[in-house]
Amino acid sequence: MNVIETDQLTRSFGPLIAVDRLTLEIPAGSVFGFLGPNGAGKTTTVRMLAALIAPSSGIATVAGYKLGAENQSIRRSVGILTETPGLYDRLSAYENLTFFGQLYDLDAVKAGRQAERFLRDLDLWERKDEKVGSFSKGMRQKLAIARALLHEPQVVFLDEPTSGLDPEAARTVLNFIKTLRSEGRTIVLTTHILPEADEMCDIIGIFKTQLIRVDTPDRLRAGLFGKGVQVRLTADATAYVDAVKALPFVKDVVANNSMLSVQLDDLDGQSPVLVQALITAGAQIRSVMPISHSLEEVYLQLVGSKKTEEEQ
Amino acid sequence: MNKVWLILHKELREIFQQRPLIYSLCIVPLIFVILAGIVLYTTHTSLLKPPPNAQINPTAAIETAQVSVGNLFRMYFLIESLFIPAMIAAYSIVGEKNSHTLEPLLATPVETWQLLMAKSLSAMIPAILATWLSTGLFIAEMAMFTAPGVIGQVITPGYLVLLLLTAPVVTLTPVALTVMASSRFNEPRTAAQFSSVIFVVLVLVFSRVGFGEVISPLASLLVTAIMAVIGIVLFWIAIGIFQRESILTRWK
Repeated sequence: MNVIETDQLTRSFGPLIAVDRLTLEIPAGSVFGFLGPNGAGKTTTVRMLAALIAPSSGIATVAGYKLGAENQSIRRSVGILTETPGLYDRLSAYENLTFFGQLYDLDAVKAGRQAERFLRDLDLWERKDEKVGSFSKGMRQKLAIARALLHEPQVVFLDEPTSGLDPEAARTVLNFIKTLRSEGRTIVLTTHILPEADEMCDIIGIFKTQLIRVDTPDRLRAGLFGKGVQVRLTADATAYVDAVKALPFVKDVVANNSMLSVQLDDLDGQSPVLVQALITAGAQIRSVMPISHSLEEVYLQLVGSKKTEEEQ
Repeated sequence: MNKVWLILHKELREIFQQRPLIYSLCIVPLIFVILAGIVLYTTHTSLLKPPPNAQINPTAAIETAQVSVGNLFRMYFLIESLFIPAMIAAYSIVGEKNSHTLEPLLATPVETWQLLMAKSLSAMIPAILATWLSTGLFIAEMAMFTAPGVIGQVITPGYLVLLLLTAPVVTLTPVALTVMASSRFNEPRTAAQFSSVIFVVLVLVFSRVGFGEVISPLASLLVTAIMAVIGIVLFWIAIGIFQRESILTRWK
């Protein structure tokens, strides 16, 4: 079941088209990563889906509610971490959370309980009575995440949740997002930190005004670079290229010093046969590893090709 | 209405924690109170020690002067109710934008009217309190430093209606105009200044008080009713044209 569906969703600001005919489905319980360069329209998309700004055209449903016609229901069903934490500096952490909890229709007692729960989960309970103005950036970010979750939303939008945080604070936030994922919430994450997206996201949407590609990280890699293994030998690999090419399932093979890079369709089924063929041909094998491409390579390839298309 | 009280409570807490804002709100009423006190005290000492060999009745002349001074200051105290709420309302919306708190606030299921009513009340309540408090001090000064009968000519039933009913109602107008301006203009200072155009009209109304015109309670009630209608209409227009998204996307 999809918790977010958009069809030709478009938003323009005067002559500038920020989001162009976005058609997208996000399954319930998944972590969806929105990747794209600055100005790609990620924040505008999040704002539209959180019913903060209206689309210029197109339709969308969020948590089963129609965007535009049922905005208040959407606002009750989603939590949002905005680009900047946006907390009241003169109020304490606890007061900030209970204030927003009540705005999300929790009664005062429930808002207090939820505030305590999330402040404890995020290691802020000891400082609950301190004014937020004295908090570090990491603490503010954690508090803003807590605020987005107080009303137990079905969908959580996190706009660059670890931006500007030190590694320790970023890790705390990421672990917390993993906890949310294990609770079955749908999370829409926008980030520029690609290893983070690779670690956290079930589905990645690469976006530059238009949606360029959407898929799981592994399928994005396979689609662009294919699948395969790297076999490190004890001797020069060139001598074994023909033996490998003779295997009917091998799509491509490249030798580089003692390394053979072999493209396959089915790593689990075909790798043992490949290893057996190399041993039969007299090769001594040091290691066999799946070929790994980073999400950054995928991203640069896709965004770069989009840029080239635009220039043409 | 719960959300109105919730936001109002938060707004008032924030306003009263901001010393620069409180100082700027208090300074003008305080100056009026001090000036009125000095002028009335000076005339009071003349009343106690009339100049020898005066050609005219000095007591009557001083009483007339005190009535004139009283009429002038009672107008100033009414005018306070115009500029104080505009200052707070401008801060209230613009301040949220500057501290990036408006986006998470607008992401909650709060209705526009609830948000604007809370923000308007948070601007009106301190303004009304400041007006009443400073006018109370002025009345005390009148009681202490004027001849018997003077206070009755200045603080008339009509004036009390203006103070207790019209002034609170009038605060709604600059607030509504500031709210309208806040969602239409990119520059927050322009938004705040936009509401000052209403000063010209309302100062003209209040200046009649300054010229000593005796305004009957009935006439004061009529002014109150007219201002209430104008204020409510402007407020609903403000709600209608308050564009959540233009504030989020246009203001930098």
